Amino acid sequence: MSTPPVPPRGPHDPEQGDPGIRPELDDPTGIRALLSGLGDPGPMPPDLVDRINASIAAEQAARANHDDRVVPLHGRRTPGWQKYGLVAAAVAGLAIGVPALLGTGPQDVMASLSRSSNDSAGAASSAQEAPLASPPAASLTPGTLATPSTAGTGARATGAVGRVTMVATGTGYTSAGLATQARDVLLSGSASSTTGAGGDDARDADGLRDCLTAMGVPAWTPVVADLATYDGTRAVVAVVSSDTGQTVYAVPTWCDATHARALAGPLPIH
Amino acid sequence: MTSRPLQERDDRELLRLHVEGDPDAFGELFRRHRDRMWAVALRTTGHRELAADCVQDAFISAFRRAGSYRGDAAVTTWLHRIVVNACLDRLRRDRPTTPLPEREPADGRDQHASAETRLDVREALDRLPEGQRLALVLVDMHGLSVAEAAIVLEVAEGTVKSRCSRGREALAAMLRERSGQP
Repeated sequence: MSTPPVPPRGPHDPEQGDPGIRPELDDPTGIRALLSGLGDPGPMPPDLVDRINASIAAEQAARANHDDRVVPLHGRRTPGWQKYGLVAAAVAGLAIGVPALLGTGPQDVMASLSRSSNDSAGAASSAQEAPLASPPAASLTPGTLATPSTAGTGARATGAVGRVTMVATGTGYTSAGLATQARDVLLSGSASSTTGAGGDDARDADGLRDCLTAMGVPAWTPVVADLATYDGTRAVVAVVSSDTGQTVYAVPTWCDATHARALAGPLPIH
Repeated sequence: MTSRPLQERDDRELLRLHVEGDPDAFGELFRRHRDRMWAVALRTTGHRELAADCVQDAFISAFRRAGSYRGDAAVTTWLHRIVVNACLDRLRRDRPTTPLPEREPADGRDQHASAETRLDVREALDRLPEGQRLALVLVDMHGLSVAEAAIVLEVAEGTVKSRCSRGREALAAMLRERSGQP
């Protein structure tokens, strides 16, 4: 079996300032030149071009047919408006000491609903939903959402609907103790919120919402998430509150609507 | 004011037009970058069918998420990242249960003895840890700068450099071992 001799230095003189070569990539092994000389795989096959063009056309048609007057809400797979009362009660438990869940108004609710519903990256999950009916216009106006009826803390929860709160505690979560750790760290109220990493994946509030939505988490559920590690790997640990209680997920930082994957969960938190 | 044809618009303009509702802007982006992204997917996965699915996923994802592009990196860097993530997701989630066919030749048009060489190199590349392999695919095979590769892989530039360095050393050692060289 022939093996390529270790090749000479790359064909480009770094002194000539070729943008493809960087002095810091000086490569005594010659492997860089070998790899760059392997050749081009050729153009995208025509059948794949046609296939992707057809997919793009379908996406464009769906986008063109979208009625901008309707705000599609992922959560409407269940008759959801009356659930806000239950959500508010569940959220009240989370609201203790978590500043970001307090002191928000109807505008934040609208922003949250609009963001989670208009994000077309979540279409992958919504494609399997029943057709969404538009709610009565009045129900979208501020002030009509249910207020907490059973909350013991008095915290206002209207602003918490669908909200994703990011914290960065640096906790090393483990598979053995995920639910307990999430309860102790994220539900204790000791963590301060952060603005997130600013990416378009799970490190960012919007990206995390897309990720969770793609995994079937309703968009109206409040989430508190921690930029941390899980079994030694960078991850996002998210506690989701619903009318049935709290559950915890661990997702990779690259999780998003198209690449939705859980490292662990959903696990119930007791 | 006459509007310039899409072919004359730069990538950022096309993406902006797409977000604003232009029905043809994304198609132009696809036409412009499809071959390169196909190559990235193929070199990342080494499996033709998998690469096809990945690159399709990636372009649809880019179509849907164009509004999230923040403009701090080049559009091609953003596309590279989406493609690489699509490939990694598939590789981790859908590990083939049947053996993969012989690796795709890097250049199907070159039928000479160097095909054997390419196979050696590709097999050795496959044996590298994922991080090192991806760094070499992006930097050495696709010519991305270290800074661009760092954005695509979501790691620090120093990490890309060290992965490239260690990956090249490991590849060189494997190739020497195959040839019986000391």
